[in-house]
Amino acid sequence: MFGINNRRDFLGRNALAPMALASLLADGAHSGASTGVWVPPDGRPHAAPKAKSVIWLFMNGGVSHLETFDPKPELDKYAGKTIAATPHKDVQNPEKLKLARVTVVNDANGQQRNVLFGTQTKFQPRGKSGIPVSDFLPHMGAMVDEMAIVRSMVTTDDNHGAQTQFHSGRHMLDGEFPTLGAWVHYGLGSLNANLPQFISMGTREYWNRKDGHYLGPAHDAVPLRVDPANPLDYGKPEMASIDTDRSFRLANRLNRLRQEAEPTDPVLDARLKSYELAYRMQRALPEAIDFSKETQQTQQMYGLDRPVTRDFGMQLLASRRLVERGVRFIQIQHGGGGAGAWDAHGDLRGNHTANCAKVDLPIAGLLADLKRRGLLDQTLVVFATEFGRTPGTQGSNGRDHHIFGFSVAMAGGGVKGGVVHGATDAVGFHAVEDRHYVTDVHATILHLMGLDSRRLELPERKRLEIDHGNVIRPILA
Amino acid sequence: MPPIALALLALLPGVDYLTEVKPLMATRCVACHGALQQKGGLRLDTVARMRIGGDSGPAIVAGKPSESPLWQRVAGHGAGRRMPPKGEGEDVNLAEQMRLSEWIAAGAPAPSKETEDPDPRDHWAFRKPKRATPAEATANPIDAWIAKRWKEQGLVPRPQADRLTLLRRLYLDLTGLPPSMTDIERFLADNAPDATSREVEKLLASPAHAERWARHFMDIWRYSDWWGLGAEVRNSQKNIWHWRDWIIESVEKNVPYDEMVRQMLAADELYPSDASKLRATGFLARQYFLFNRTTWMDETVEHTSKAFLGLTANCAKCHDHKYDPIRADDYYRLRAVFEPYQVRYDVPSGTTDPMAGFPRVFDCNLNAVTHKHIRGDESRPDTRRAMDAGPPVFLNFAKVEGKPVALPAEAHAPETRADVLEAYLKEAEVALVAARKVASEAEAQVAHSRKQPSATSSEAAKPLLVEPFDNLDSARWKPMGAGMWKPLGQALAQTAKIDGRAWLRLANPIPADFEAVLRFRITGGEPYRSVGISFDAAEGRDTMVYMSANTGEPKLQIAWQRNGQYVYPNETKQQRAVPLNTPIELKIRVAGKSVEALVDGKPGASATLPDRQAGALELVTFTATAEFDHFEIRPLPVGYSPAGKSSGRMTLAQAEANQKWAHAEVAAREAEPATLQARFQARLQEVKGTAAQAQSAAREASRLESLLAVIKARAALAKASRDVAVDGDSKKPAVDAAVKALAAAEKASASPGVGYTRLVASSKSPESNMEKPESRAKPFPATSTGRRSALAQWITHKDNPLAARVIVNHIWNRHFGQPLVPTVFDYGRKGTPPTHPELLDTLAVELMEHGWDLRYLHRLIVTSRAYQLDSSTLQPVEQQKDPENKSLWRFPSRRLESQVVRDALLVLANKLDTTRGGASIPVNDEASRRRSLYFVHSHNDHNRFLAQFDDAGVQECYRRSESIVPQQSLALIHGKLASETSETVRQLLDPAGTVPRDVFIRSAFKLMLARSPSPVELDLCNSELAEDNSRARAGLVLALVNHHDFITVR
Repeated sequence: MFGINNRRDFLGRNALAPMALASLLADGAHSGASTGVWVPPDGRPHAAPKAKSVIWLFMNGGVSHLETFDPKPELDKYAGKTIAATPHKDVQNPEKLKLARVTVVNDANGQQRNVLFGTQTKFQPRGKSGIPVSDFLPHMGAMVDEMAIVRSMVTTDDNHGAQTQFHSGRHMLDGEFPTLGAWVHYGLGSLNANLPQFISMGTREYWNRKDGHYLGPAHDAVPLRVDPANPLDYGKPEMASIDTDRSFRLANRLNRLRQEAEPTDPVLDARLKSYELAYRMQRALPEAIDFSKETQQTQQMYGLDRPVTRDFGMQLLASRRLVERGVRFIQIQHGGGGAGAWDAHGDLRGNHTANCAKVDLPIAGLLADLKRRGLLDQTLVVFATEFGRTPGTQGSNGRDHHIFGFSVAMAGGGVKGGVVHGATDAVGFHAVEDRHYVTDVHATILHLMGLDSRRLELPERKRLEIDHGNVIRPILA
Repeated sequence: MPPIALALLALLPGVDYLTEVKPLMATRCVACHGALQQKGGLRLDTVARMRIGGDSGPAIVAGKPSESPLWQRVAGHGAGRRMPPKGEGEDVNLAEQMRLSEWIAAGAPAPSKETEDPDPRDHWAFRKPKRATPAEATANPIDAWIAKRWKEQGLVPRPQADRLTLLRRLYLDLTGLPPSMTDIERFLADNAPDATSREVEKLLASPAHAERWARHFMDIWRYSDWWGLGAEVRNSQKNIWHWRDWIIESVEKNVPYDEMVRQMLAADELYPSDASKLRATGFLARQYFLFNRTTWMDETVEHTSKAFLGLTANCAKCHDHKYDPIRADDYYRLRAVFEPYQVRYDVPSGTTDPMAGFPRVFDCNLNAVTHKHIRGDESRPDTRRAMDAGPPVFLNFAKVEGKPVALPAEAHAPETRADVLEAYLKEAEVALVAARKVASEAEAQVAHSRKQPSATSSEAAKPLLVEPFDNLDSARWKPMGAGMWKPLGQALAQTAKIDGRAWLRLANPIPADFEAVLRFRITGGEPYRSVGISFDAAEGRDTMVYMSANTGEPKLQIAWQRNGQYVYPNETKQQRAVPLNTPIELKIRVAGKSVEALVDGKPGASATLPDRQAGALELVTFTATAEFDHFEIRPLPVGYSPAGKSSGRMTLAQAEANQKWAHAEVAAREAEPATLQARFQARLQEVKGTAAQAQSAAREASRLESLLAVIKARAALAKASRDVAVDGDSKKPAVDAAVKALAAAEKASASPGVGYTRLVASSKSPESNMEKPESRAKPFPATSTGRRSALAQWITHKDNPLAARVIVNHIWNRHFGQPLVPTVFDYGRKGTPPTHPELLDTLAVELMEHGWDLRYLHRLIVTSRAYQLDSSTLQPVEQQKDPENKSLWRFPSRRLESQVVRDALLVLANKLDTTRGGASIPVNDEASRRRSLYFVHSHNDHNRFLAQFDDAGVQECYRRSESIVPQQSLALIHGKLASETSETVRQLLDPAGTVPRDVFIRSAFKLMLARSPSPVELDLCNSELAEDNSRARAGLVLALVNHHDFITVR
C-alpha cells in the first residue's frame, strides 16, 4: 500500500518490492544508520527484528488486574473497610492521585472508591514459574511460562477514552494520533503480496475507529470479518448484472497497455500493483480465513466447538493463519458495545466470569498453536486493556475505572516467558515498582519489530518524549 | 568524567564540529540561546559566540571541557541547572556528551567563516510579499516565473495538452464533475480562439463550481457535523450545515476572501443583525467541545493560526516556539481573543424554536480572564497575570486594538425582534383555534349525552393483567438484551450497567387500545437512565413512552421507531425532574393513534402516532439500572377520550366536566396574545426605553402574566375535575393540588410587581457539561469585546505578510495537486520554503490588489501556460533531472478526491441530484444521488464509499492524502454505484442497442476517459466484445471506470 501524501514517501516506498523484503529480513539487513536528516521509511527495519508480526488483543472496558494477574491478599484482609481505616490509607494521598486527567468532570464513573472490595476469585501458582494467575483464567494460566506479565502499568485518562490512549499514547483531550499498528504499518514493508498488512477484527468503539490519522488513511487497519463468504467491504460484487471479474481483467489489461505507453509514470505503476493486490486479496482472504483444512483438534484448541468461545476463537485462529501468511499487525478488540464489555461497574464477579470464559481458552490455544508451529518466537501476542479496576467497591459488587496501576501480558516474539515485571502496592492501587506508561508497551513492541519511533516521526509532527516511551528491557528475552 | 569514559575518548577519531557539535547545539540549545532568544545573554549558534558567552561568562574554555559551563550544564555536572531544562528537550546523552567534551578538549576548533543564524523576524514569510519583475515578461505573470525555473534547470516543458484533456481537467478542477458528452461535442466543435476562456467563465459562474470549491474550503476550515455519544452533542454543533451553505453561497457570489475570513471570525461584531452572514461564525461554533474549555480554545487558536496564517502557534502552548518568534505569551494572548465567546441558536423568522436555527457565536463572558498555563498544564494557571488579547507580538506591521462593539437590541436580545413576537402570536392563534374546536366538540358531546345518557358510571375498569414482580415469571416475560434481572421479592431489578437497552417482552398479546401502569424506580446507569413502556414492538419499529433521568435533559418522552430510526419530537416531550431511587408511576393510555402519558397521576406528554401496527408490549431500560415494582394493563376507562376529544361514550357528568375544562382552555388561550404582547413590550422597553417606560411595561407584563396564571390554574382545576369524573376518585389528590395552586395564583395576582418572563428566542449551548441552568439563562451582553473583529482586521490587513500567501498556496495546490509551499500550514522557519518564491509573492500581491477576488485568481491560474501543459512523463531528460516535477515541466496528474469519484459516477450516469444545501444527509443513505459534500461528515460517521478514497480528515485536513490502496479498486469494481453507472452509461451511449461496436468503444473512451482509444486498445476492446451484448458493453464501461485515466485528472 502506498501513501503518497508526499512524493518522496511515495517514491521511497514504491521502490521496494514486497517479496524482496522477506529475503532482506531473513538476511537480517536493515535500514541505514540515522544521518540526522529525515528520510521517509523505506520499509526496512532500523535494527534486526525479533518479532515479525503482532497479535494485539485488546479487552474493551477495563480488565480488573486484581482478578487476573495481580493477587492482593491484603484486599481480602481489609475487605469492607474504608481505605482510610487501613494501614494502606496513604494510597489516597491527593499528591499520588494527581496522575489523573479528568475528561468528564461530573462523571458517575472514574471516581475514588473508598471501601475495599475482596478479590472475587482465587489465585493459583501456575506453570513451572509458579506465577499466580486467577481461576478466571485457568487456560492462560497454564501457558504462563510463555508470558511476561507487567503489573505496573499506568495511564492518565480515567474515562474510556483511555482505549484510544492505549493505542495512540495520547489522552482523549489531545486530539487524534496514529495508533501503534499504524506506526508499524507505516514503518515496515509487506511480507505478503496478497494480503493487507494491518487488519482489525472485533467491534471498535466509536472513539477508536481509525488508526492512520496524520499518517494518512492508507495506514488505517483493514476491517476483516471472519466470514469466508464476505470477509471485507466491497470484497464481492454487489450487483450481478455485470461480469465484474471480466471487467477487472480487462481493466488490468488496459492499464497495462497504458503503462507500456508511459512506463515512467510512478503513480500508474502503483495503481497497477494495487489492482493486482486487490485481485489477489479478494482471492487470498477467503482462503486465509477458511478453517476447513484445520483439524478438529486445532479447532478445539481455540474453542470453536463451544458457543461461548467460538466467536473470539475464530478471530484468533484467523490471526494465526494470517500471521503464517505474513500479516504484520492484527488488532482484535474484544467486548464491543457501549464502553466495552469488561466495564464491570456492577457485578464484577459475574462480568469477569463471563468475559474471561470467552477469551481464556482461545488465547491459551493461540499461544500453544503458535508454539508448536514454531511461530511464537516471531509473533508477539499482547493482552491489553485500557485500565484496571479500583481496589474499592463501586455500588455493592463492582469496581470502577482505575488508572494508577494495572496489568498487561505479552508472549512470544522476543519477550521472556514466565516472568513478572513491576508491582503495585499491597492493595493493588498504585504501580510502585518499574512504573510504565502505555507508550512503554509501544516502545517495547517497536523495538522487537526492529523499529525506532524517533526515526519514524515526521518532521512536521514532532512527538513528545512521552509519546516515544521507553523499552521495557527486563522482559526482553 | 568517569575514567572509563575518558578511556573511551582516546579511541574516538577527531570530532567534526559541523556534523557533530553544531547539529547538537541546533536541536537542543539554540531555540533559547540563538537568534530567536538569548536567554542569559547567551548564543550558541557559533563557536565565536560560545567563546564570548553570556551573562555568566564564556560557555566554553577551549581545551578544558570539565571547566566549560556548556559541557557542565549538558552533562548535569556542577552547580548550574542541567540543560536543556526538563520539558524543553531531550537530555544530551552520554555519547553526545563525550563528543562535545572531546571537541572542547581538542581546543574547540571552529570553521573559518562561521555565520550567525539570521534574525528570525527576517524570515521570508514574515516579510511583506513584493511583486518582482521577471527578466522575461509573459502575458500571464505566472508563466514568467515558471519558465525561469525551466531555464535555470535546462528543462523543456511538455507541449500544450490536447483540447479534450484540457476540457476534462477544467471541468473536474473547477466543478468537480467531468463533462457530459454534450459538453464534449459542443466544445470540440467550437474552434473560436476564445473557446477555452469562455468555457472557464461558464464553469466559474456555475453552481457546481461553488459546491466544488466550498468542499475545498470545508477541508481547510475543518468542517464537521456534530458528534457525541448518543444524543449528547460533544463536538461541533447541530445544524452546522448552515455554515456549509454559507461557504457555498459565498463562493458562488465570489465574496472576497478577506471578507469571508472577517465574517467567519467576527460576523457577530461586524454584522450583528445579518442572519445570513452570522452563519459564517460556524467556523468558531465548530470548535465547540463540551467537556473541556481548554481543549476547545486550543483547537480554536491552533486552527485559526494554521488556516489563515500558516503559523504553528500551537507549538507555543507549553513553551516559547522552538523555531519561530512566537512566545508562549502570544499563544495565550491569542486565546484571550476567543476567551469570551460561546455558541447559541436564535429563533429563525416564523418559528419559536431556537433549535430550528443555526449555531452562531457571541461574546458571552466579557470578563472571562485568560491565564497562561505553566508548561501548558491547565491545572497550573499563572494567576498573577491576566493575558491581554491580541496577535503574536513579533508581527507588528499594524496595531489593531479590539474596541468594545455596542450591539443592536435584536442581536443581544433577540426576544425583542418583531418577527419573534409575530411567531409567538401566530402560534397562540393556532392554539386558540384548536382549543375552540375542542370546545365545540365538547359542547356537542354534552348535547349528545343529554340525549342518550350512558348507563355506565365512571367505575374503574378491571385489569387485564397484574404483575406484582415478586419474581421473574418467565412464562410471561422474556428478558432481552444484555440485562441482568434480579428478583428482590417485592420488585424486579435490572442490575446490568450496560450501554444500551435491556428489556422484558410480554408474551401475551394485549388489545390495541389499553391503559398500562408501571411503577418503578431508576437506580443508576449512565448516561440516559431511561425506563419506560414500549408497545407495538417489532423488528425496527415500536412506540416508547419513557422517563429519562439524564443529567443533561431529564424528561418524559414519547418516541417512535420506524424502519429502525427513532424520532423524538419536541412536542411529545416533557422536560421535568426525574429523581433517582424514587418511586415513579408512569401511566399510558393508548387509543387508536393517540397516546397520553401521565406521571404520578399528572398529565405529562401526549402524541398522535403516524400509524400503528400490532406488536409486543415491552418494559424497557436504556443505559439504566432500575427496579420494577408493579405493572398492570387495563381497558381504557369508560368514556375515555384522548386530549379532550369526544369518544361518544361519555356520561353526562363526564361530558359536562369535559366541556368545562375545554372552555377553561379556550379562556387561557384567549388571554395569551395580550400577555405575549406585554411580555414582549416589557423586554423591549427594558432594552430600548427609559427606566420609567421599562418599569411601567414590566408592571403591565407582570400583571397580565399573573392574570393568565390564574386563568391557567382554573383550566388545570377544570382538567383535574374532569379527570376525576372520567377516571374516578383516584384523581382526587390532583384536584386538591389544583385548588391550592389556583389560590396561590390568585393571591399572587393581587400584587403582581414587576417580574415577568421574557419570550424565549435563543438557546445557548452549554458552556460545559458542568454549566447550571441559571448560567445558561443569563442575558446576553449588550456589547461584544471587539477582540475577534480586531484579529480578523489584522489577519486581513494589507500589510500582513502571511494571509495572502497562505490562501494563494491553498488555491494553487488544489489546481495543480502540489503546493508552492509544501508545508501548507507552516510558513515558519521549520517549514519548507516555496518552490517558486517570486511566483508565490506575485500571486499574493495580485490577489490583494484585486480586492482578494478568488475568481480572479482561479482565472489567472487556469489560463496560464503552466496549467495547460500535457501531463505525460514521457521526457527522459526532464524525468531524470526533475522526477518529482517540482519545476512543473509537465502538468502534475493527480487522483480524483473521494467526493469527485462519487459525483463523477453519478453525473456520467445522468443521475446526479443537483438539489442544493440543507441538512446533511445520513452517511448510510445509499439511495441519495446528491453531491457528496452534503453527506454527514464527522468523527463518528463515515460514508462507506467516500472513506475508501482518502476522505477529508475531520480533525484537520489542510491537504488531502492521496493513497493507492486495494480497497479503492474493490469499491470501483464491486460497488453498486460503479456497476449502476456502467449500465446507465451503456444505455446513454447505445439506447437502442444499435450502435456499431467500434463506435461504442470510441464513445465510451471519449466520455469516460476524455480521449480516443489507441489502435491496440481498440483491438483489445473489440476482442473483448467478441460476444457482443449489452451486458458485455456495460462490462466494458465498468473496466473504463477502473482505468487509471478515469480516476486521474490528467
